[in-house]
Amino acid sequence: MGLTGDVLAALPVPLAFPLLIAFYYGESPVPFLAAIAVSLALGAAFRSVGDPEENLGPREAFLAVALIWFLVAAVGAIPFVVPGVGTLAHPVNAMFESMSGLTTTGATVLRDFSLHSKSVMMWRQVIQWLGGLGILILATAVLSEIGVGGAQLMESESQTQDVNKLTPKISQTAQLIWGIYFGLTGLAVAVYFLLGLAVDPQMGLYNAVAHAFTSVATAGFSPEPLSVGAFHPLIQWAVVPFMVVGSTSFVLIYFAINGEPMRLLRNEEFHFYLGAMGTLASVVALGLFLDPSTTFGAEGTIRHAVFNVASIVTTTGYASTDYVQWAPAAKHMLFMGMFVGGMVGSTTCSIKSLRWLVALKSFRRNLFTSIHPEAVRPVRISGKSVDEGAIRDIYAYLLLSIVIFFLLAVVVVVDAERANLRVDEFEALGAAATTFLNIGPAFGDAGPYGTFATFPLSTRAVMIVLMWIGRIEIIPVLVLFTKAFWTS
Amino acid sequence: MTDRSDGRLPTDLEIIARDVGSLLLMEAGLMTLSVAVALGFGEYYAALGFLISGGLTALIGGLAVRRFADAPEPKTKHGMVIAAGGWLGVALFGALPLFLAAWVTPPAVMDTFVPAAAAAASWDPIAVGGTTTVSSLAYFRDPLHAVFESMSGWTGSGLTMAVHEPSLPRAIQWWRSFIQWVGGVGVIVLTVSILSRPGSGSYALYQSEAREKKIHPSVVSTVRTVWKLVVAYTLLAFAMLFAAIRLSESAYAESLSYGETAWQALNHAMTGLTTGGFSVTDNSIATYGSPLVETTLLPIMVLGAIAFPVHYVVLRDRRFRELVDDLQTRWLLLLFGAGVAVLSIQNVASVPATPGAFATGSFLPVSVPLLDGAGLDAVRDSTFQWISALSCTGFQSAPIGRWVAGAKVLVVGAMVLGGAAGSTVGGIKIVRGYTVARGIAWQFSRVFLPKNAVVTTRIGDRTLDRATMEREFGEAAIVTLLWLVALAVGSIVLVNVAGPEFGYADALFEVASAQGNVGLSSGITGPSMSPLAEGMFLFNMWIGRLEIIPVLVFLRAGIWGLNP
Repeated sequence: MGLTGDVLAALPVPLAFPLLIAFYYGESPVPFLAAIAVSLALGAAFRSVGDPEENLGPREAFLAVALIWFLVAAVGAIPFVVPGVGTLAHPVNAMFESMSGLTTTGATVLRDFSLHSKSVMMWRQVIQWLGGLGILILATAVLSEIGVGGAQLMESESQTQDVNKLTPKISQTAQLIWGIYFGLTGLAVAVYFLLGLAVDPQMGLYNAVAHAFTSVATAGFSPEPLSVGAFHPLIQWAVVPFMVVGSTSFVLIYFAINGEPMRLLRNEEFHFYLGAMGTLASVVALGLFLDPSTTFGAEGTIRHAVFNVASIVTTTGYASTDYVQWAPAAKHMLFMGMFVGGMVGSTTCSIKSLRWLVALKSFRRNLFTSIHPEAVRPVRISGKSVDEGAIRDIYAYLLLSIVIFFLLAVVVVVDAERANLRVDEFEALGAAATTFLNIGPAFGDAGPYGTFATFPLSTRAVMIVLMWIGRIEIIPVLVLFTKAFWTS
Repeated sequence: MTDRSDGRLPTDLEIIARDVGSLLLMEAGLMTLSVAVALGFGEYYAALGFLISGGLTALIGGLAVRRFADAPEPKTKHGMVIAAGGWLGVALFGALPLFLAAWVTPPAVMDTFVPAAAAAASWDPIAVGGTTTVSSLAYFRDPLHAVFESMSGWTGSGLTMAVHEPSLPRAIQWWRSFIQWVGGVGVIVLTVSILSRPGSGSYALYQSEAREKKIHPSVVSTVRTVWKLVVAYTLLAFAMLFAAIRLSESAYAESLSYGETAWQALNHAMTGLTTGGFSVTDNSIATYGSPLVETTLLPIMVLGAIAFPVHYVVLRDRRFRELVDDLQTRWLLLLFGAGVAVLSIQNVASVPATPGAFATGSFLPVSVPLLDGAGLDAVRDSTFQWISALSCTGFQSAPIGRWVAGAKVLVVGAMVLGGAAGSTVGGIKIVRGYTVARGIAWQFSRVFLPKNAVVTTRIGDRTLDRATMEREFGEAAIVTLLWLVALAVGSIVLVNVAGPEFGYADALFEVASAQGNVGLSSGITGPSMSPLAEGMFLFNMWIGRLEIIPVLVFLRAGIWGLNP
């Protein structure tokens, strides 16, 4: 409870940023002042309930994580709902936008971008950057230590055995990771701004900051209705490495910066992740070349294939072109790419490469032990043998993800039928995957240049919950419903 | 690979070739039997087809058995490869009678198989040898169609390339039903003897023997027990169906002669009990348009979905409580009930949105509150189709392709889960689904327990310690995951090669049906489907029948051998 209160009480700091923007452009500061007031009040309330000396064990950590993500999203929705313009005037839409932001999803319910003030649009970007920061700490300090869903396999800089003392661990990790995160964001601002000066006046300081926030966080909101497609091809190319780095394990980046680059370069998960992205991009590029209806030219075809595949696999959700217009097969490749995800310990979402890699290796091991039942052969990743409990955790995680994803798809289809809305089953699957796996755009109406506002209100409400569950890796929410959580 | 001395094959390969060869010899025996059926109906060309295929199959099988007669007994590690290779070999050779009968029968003779019914005039003619015929036999001139039909039969799937079954020769109708019947017995033997490893989700008919290193004795005794049960149940089902069709008041049923009634009852008893799903009527069970026939088939399909060890215990000891005590059977019966209710609600609610999917006239003499004619028909179709799907039979009584996506997806759920392990059903099986669900809950709540806590779990009447439970979950999870991945990849491939009139739900439905060895169709499967999809379905049916792992072991052994 105390931790939740601390986080809420700290929210005015990031809220101050769009507030300054509002003053600079002479826009109303009221939305942000309201949000600051609410966050301070909530923070104080939670702090008074919480005991500052309490030990943060797995149980408390799960509850705190689930609460923090939900409450911050709720407070984050205030600046959207207060101005009362466009689709965001509806509280469910505001909550959708805020949750989509905080979970670094990037799915939007905006219809007309021009209705909203520059400061509100910047808040969309800031909240995504915050979400990226939050997930970094969650992934590197909390989930990997408690050891659920295979997150314990992440390479971390220190292994503590005592999971009942998470608080020092969190602050210690935070200092290391924050430095890298701030540094990367600053670098992205500089690169985008300088490239903007050189080739594209539309990429001013405002857009440079806005896009730096959401590319390093692999989040995907853009103040431009055409997303990154609005900018010069050179800038589109420059965004790709930042998305990829944002999806690479920050712990390994930390090692690389501190003179051990081989730990990153020899990491099998890194190989798998780059390999999956490269393969998908090649296939999509080939498909686009063979499709006579797309006329991007050679550079354009490769750029669009690489950019959009990288955007989907890193779970960012930018688009350089409206890929809804592509041939079905190319869209199906992007759909499959949604399930891959980047590396554990990064800002990425989705299922993540490590889990697929471990599952794949353990399948191969299983075929071996089917023939030689007496053989003992551990599964090895980057030369280290993997704990059997972690493998089973990963199976459980994968199965649960698939089941939840599929149930969500069914809800989207059935709910659309109920509302007499024509939603193609593939669009429904795409929308389910993109929200639950926190990617951003889907297909059809919910495509990169479209909006989720076309779905029925009830569907959007369900999506809010599933973005929340998906972002904090399912388990912290689901354990709240188990008997073991509340007893013993 | 060892034993390369004196130019002989490796020992492992000899064992496998010998055992697959003996399966082929058995198949040749079945073909010879079918020659008698063909002669009995005066179908001399079909008889010739069966005779040649029987000879060829016997020749190859006999050669393998003779040549490797002195190979050692198979061990556990050979079991899976023999099962996967055997199913593939038997399906390939089982296509021969279809293929040869289609080529030796002249088109003029094919035309004589076509019934005189008015509907036949509207059937699509098929070009054969410079002329055309409407007999579906001609489709089997394409070897891929013949292999598809045979694989669909041997795996108990029931997807068919014969668009109009009544226009096939009797002997071919018989062969389709017969291979489903024998394949059904085969799969019971497979799951209760060869695959019954710990955690595989199957459980043994005779607990002690199943763990043996030598697999032959346990297989032989299992076969004996299973045969007796299957023959008895089939006779019972035949009698019930015969009576139901005779008593039925629909125009089609009344037009049938005694002989024709007996023939249809026999074929449907064979394919219904073994949850196969081939039929000899043009539109599967919808042809009868008879609630009575549908009702009679329900218990037959349910019988086929209950594990044979349970049948054995119930019948031997007269212990009917076993039906409730046994975990799988209890859940099976629960799921039958719950699924019927949910699917009925979905379909009744979607009646206005799906014109043409449900008949408007009430089939009951009395009116039921809240339901009009179409609503009643929706309940009736939902009941039959749910039980047909969950038991993985695949008899069709309704145009599922016209249902709304939500209803299709519900049926997909049934086809993926399937019935009880140890019966003829497909799908991942109830016991595996249960183990996976329990295991996931365990993996997540584990965090809150001390590392050294003593934990036991009960699955059915077995009490498992922590290590066993974790191993069982691991095994069940692997199969389930591979199943879902194969389903997802298959449906994405299919949606790209099927026509634009089919949506993703149709593709998913069709792949789930093939992989779960069900046989329901949303309309994609047919002779005009793309060869790529047809080939993919062959693979789906094969891996589905063997629960994936044996096929992967087979492929792995084909590349690297059994010893690395």
